[in-house]
Amino acid sequence: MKLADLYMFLKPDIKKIESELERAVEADHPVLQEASLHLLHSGGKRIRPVFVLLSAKFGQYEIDRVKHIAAALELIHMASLVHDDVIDDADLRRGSKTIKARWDNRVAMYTGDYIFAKAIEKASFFENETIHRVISNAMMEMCLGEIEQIRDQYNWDQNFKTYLRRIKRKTALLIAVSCQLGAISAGASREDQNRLYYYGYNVGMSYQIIDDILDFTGTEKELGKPAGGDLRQGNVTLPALYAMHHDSFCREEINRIIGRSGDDPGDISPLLDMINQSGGIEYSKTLSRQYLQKAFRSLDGLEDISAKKSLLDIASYIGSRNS
Amino acid sequence: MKELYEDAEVQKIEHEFKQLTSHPYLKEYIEEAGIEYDYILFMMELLLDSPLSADAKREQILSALLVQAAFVTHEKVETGGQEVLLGKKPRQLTVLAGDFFSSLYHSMLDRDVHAKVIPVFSDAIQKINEEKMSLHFCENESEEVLLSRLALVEGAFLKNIASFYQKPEAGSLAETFFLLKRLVHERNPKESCYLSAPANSIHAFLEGGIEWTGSWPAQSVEQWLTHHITRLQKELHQKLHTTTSIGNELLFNVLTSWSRDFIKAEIK
Repeated sequence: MKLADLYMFLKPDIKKIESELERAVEADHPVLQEASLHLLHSGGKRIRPVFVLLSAKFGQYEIDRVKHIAAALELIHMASLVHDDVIDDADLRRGSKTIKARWDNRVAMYTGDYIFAKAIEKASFFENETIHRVISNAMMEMCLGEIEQIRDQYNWDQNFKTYLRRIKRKTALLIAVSCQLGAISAGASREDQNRLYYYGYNVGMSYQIIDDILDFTGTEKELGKPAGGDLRQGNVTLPALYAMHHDSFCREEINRIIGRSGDDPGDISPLLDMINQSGGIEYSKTLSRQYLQKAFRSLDGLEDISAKKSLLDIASYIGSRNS
Repeated sequence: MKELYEDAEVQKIEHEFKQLTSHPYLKEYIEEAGIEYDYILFMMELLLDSPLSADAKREQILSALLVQAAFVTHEKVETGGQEVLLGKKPRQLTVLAGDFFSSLYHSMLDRDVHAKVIPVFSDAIQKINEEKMSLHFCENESEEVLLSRLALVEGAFLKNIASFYQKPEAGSLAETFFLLKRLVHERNPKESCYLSAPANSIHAFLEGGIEWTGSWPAQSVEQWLTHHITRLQKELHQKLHTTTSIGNELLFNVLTSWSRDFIKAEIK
């Protein structure tokens, strides 16, 4: 079963959002237009708009209102990807050339800034200070999270709290606010807004932990890059963090092989084996499941409508994904 | 020049801006965001008759400064993937610092009282990025087109806000003034790093290509800049004396100073 099968009934509305996004990225400059469309058509799952729409179902659902928030959040996500590719000096994303590789860094910067501005314009459909506060806070936290990720690269003495705060900012927050803003824009009750926020937060945390597990357990074919990419780049994720806390030899080996320089460490498969054997993968899976359980529980108290079933199914799907 | 900006409100805004943008880790690797003091004065002028509270006015001024800081910061990201000047970590943090300032600008405007001005800000940012793209690709078929693009990149932001607050004369002054300031900036080899889209486009227009290995500015560029700086000073002087009123005395003094020929002497 595909993810999209879990919310088939939203298909016409998702199409509307797709058109909204295409309209939003219309630009006079041909390169700006081409770069934005390239990004738009590069195969994103539109999971944030889906969360907006499903959450809006718990209020007065009007697609012609809600679509503005859904588009705004997807545009923020898209713009951050363009800038992330400059940060990571990445040439490929989802198998196609990044904007910075196809043109250059400056085109990527202008495109990202243009799309961010479009996102804010979309959000300004709502003259509602809570909506603007939630969005601007999420954008700020995302930036701070990325700044901290760079600060903490090659720092092998991190604790679990630092890791959890980082993945909250990196992934969970935008999913949480997608749910929250869907509910707010449809005028859902305050209680339901909170329930949906915590659902999104917990799903996002679980999703990112699974992503971090897959970086160790996936094959090169599945990942599109060699396993252990995070560790190679000095990014400490949960499986490695657990291993280092429970096996001092593993910590020494990571320090010895990866070090702090950023140079290519060569073959790191012995480290990956060590992390696997430490119980780090199992521990991470357990924690991811716990977040999923919390996500399920967050939905208690919401009305039993088809959107609730879709949210539950999406959470289960995320929990079972292996690529 | 600094004495032109000595004012309690300007200082208050400067202090708040520094508090907002200061980040201990960013500070280790990249320059702190600079303050465009003239933006403060122009924004004070545009908001002079507005019924907004003092706090709300300050929020809009800070927001404008943050947009400007984001633009300046992102302009420092080098075109190529290789770290020629910045180095890997500073490049990464330069991108993030600009994004951080953008998020701060939006957060400054998150109260209901600013709802109507948010689209004005975002529309100006879009326009400027469109024009920057044209400058980046050196698509300037004539001198007029090049100058109007440069004027838009430098002045569209305040011009948009001026139009929103129904102060078109101040918007027109801002456009001339910030274009003049940009040309003076590029004319000064110490200030211009010859990496910005405006500098590249001026060079490409005059020299027929963007490859440049000599010292900046080239002689032809220097002459061109000097010619237009003088012309813009005259234009500013003229506008200043036909504008019906400028309520902010500090702004009037700054504009008067820039329209006199001491600037030319200074950059020489």
